[in-house]
Amino acid sequence: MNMLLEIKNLNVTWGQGSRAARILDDVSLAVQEGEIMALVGGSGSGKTTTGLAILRLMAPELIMTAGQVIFKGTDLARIQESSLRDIRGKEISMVFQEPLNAFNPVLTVGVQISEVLKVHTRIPSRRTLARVLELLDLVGIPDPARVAGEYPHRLSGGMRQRAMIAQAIAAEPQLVIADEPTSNIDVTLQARILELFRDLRQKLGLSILLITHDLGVVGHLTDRVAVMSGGRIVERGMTAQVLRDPQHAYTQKLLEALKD
Amino acid sequence: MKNKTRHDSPLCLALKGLRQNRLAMIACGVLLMLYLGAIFAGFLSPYSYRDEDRNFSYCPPTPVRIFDGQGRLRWPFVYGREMSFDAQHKRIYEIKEQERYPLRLFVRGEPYRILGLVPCSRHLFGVDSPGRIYLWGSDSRGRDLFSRILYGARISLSIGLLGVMISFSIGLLVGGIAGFYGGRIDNILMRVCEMFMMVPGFYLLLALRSVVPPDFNSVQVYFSIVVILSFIGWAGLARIIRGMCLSLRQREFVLAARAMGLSDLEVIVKHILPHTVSYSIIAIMLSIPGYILAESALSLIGLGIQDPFASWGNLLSEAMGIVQITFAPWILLPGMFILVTVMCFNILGDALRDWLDPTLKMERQS
Amino acid sequence: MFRYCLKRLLISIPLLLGMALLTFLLMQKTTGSFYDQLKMDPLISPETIDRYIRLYQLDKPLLTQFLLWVRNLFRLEFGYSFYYNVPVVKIIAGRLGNTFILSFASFLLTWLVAIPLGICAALHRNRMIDRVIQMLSYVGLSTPSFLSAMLLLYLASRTGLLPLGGMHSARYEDMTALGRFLDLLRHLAIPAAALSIRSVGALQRIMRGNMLETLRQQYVLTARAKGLPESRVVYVHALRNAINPLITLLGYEFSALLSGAALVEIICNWPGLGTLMLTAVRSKDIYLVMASFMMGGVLFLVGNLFADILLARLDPRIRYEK
Repeated sequence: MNMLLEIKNLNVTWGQGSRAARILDDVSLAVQEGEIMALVGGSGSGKTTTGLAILRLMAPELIMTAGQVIFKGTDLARIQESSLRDIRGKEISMVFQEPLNAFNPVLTVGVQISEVLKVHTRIPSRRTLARVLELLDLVGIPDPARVAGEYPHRLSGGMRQRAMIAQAIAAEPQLVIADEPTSNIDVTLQARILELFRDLRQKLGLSILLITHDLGVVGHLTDRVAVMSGGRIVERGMTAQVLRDPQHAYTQKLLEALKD
Repeated sequence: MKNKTRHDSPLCLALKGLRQNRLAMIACGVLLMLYLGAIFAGFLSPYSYRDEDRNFSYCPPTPVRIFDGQGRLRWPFVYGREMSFDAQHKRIYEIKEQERYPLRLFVRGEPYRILGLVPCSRHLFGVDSPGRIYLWGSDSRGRDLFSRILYGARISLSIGLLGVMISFSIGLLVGGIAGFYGGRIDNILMRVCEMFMMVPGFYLLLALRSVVPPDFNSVQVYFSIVVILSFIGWAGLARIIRGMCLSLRQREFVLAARAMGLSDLEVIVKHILPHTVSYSIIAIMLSIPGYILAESALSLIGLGIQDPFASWGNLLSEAMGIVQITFAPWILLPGMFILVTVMCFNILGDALRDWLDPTLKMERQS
Repeated sequence: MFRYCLKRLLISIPLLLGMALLTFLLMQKTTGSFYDQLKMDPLISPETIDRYIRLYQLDKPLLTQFLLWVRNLFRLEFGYSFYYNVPVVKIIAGRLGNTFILSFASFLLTWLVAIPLGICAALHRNRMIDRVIQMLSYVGLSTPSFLSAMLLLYLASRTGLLPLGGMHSARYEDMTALGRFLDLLRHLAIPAAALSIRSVGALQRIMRGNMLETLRQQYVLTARAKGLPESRVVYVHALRNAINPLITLLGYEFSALLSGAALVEIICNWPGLGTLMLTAVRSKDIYLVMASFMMGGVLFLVGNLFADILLARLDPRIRYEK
């Protein structure tokens, strides 16, 4: 398998001088083509920041002080903003935790998905709606035509999350970064969303970087896992291996919590 | 329940926070100067507000000089002036360099009363007659603008305070009751408030003013203006108070007080209202400008404080004619005072609010 | 949507009635002496006086009088102006139009200036241009409209660029349609600008705050993560949300405009409702005063209703909630 994304020695700081705090400390990570990789950690571990750092979407107070983010041979940390925009949404896309906040409340779901198509693909406008419906169908939404015309707050949580995923795959990216995609959904629906991810990986050959605090999710779905704590990666390896035989104390603690 | 170990009173905290904001400190200082100027207007001004001299009508400001015609350094003085008309019948003032009037300090002048009690006749500065010192020019009757602005400050600044105090008392009562009881009472009271807030303020001002009997003397006019202003302003304050009370009444300490058997009024007055103090101060501070402006507006069009009494508004009424503005621009000076006063109150109010609760900054905008 | 409007209208009726009551009570305070005054005025014929006493049933109990007065309101029978010697309704209509023109012009000016300034300030937060805009806004919103008017008139008199008050030039009648329009604009410039200065200051600050708040929202991050061009992120995603709360201000702004307009009208000699009301108050022309007063209230309600409908259209969350 080829290496799709490689994060090398990423350092991110907040603030300056004596009040500076290290948010990410020498983080290195790799995602292969076609694999589902998990980035696990508690709150404040830096996992979300890592995800945002890949596309340079961190808050302006956070500064990348060192490191590289190599994607298909290019260092995303160094290229121009305009080139980065060609990659965002098109080659690498993101799915966020709370779709109610992540969708714009005054635009319909259909419009927001079609934006991606208009900006990143050459699909002519008359075909855009059809494509949006195809995408909604692909993520398992039963009534695509109705959903496309709805505003985000009118959909159920599960549907919203699927719509968000549809938006993320609209331009056929190679990597999807999913930041806690199941944390705000009903437990019963979580499994369905995870299944959807697995389906999409199979059908479209996607790679997925799954950011989560829930080890339970990790076990079912992912190939490899990296565990983060306090801004550092403390353990990594094949999922089955790590879950069976955790080396680091933190990983062991997470497993313990899972058993409860 | 007072937690003495943790905080000072809200007022102490406010003052501490204020010290960090330089602009607010400046605003505070300016306001203090203005109010002091108003209180000691009698002493600080060379002339009384009604002291006129028609020979010096619309005289431009007389600068205080220290170098005379030959460039010699002298004790500060002003030159004499003489009025005449040019070919286009425009008024011009000729400076007469032969007449020098030295500045005199602690001059004996027209008697006045400090704080309305202690009679005195010393003024901070002045010149011997027939010379006149017009630091900021004179009006149509030759009255010194500087003196009249100081005396005007008394009315303009006090009406604001009085008006807001009355409004606030009414607002406090109505808002407190509405917020505390909620339900039907709240609904009715709020509809009444809305009605008052709905009416365009200026029109209500005029309408109410037309109801005041024409034979009122100036003191009665002053108080009726204060009453009219409060009549318009209470509704806004009542709504703010009601909002605060509404959110407070479900808090534990209120429920505890009620469980202890205190009467409703006691609960409102002793427990709920003290928590509204900080926000109330801010609300008050931000409403004062409105009252000052309302009085100025009324006086400007001749329906407020009447001649010969001075208020910044009626001083400006002289500037209503284009002719005056063009040839005697110093007439606009009272307007600058109004502007500065309003700005200072706004700055102070905003600084207090932003300091007290930075998240309010966002709330107030949505 | 229709039900929503209907509901709003229904709520407005008690408000209007309340205003009517207030007006009526105020009138009662003065009508007594006023009628005596009238009777002594040789210019008013006894027939006119009798007619109005009969029309307003001044000999009947107060409640009946009030109901009759309300009924007359609906018939647009506002009473008689003794100063102008015509029924009130005839004068009010024309002046109302003029005030509306002025208010509308100022309103347009305010929004066309404040919104872009607010966006600009938000996008260049804390840089020089933002600070300058903030400072100017602060001064602007503390400046009373009458002072702005006077200062602008002073500048105009010095430079001779714009006419100094009034609504039409002397040769208005001889001008072409375009000429008349331009003439109107020239006369409108100073009063509209004077009225706007304060609102621009206030509105700009609110716009800036809303933009800053909106730009921090999660959906803006999503829009950027989708790789949308920055202009689309700002002007479609952020702006649409930032501007919504401002729409609610529209109605209140209109009412404030009416109030503020009155004073500016008086200073700039603009023949509108404000100048009318002043003349009425000065000459104790009671019916005129009260009619203008009611008119102000009605306009406020209309402005509010308009703002509410607009908000419901623009924000789908509210539309469905009702």
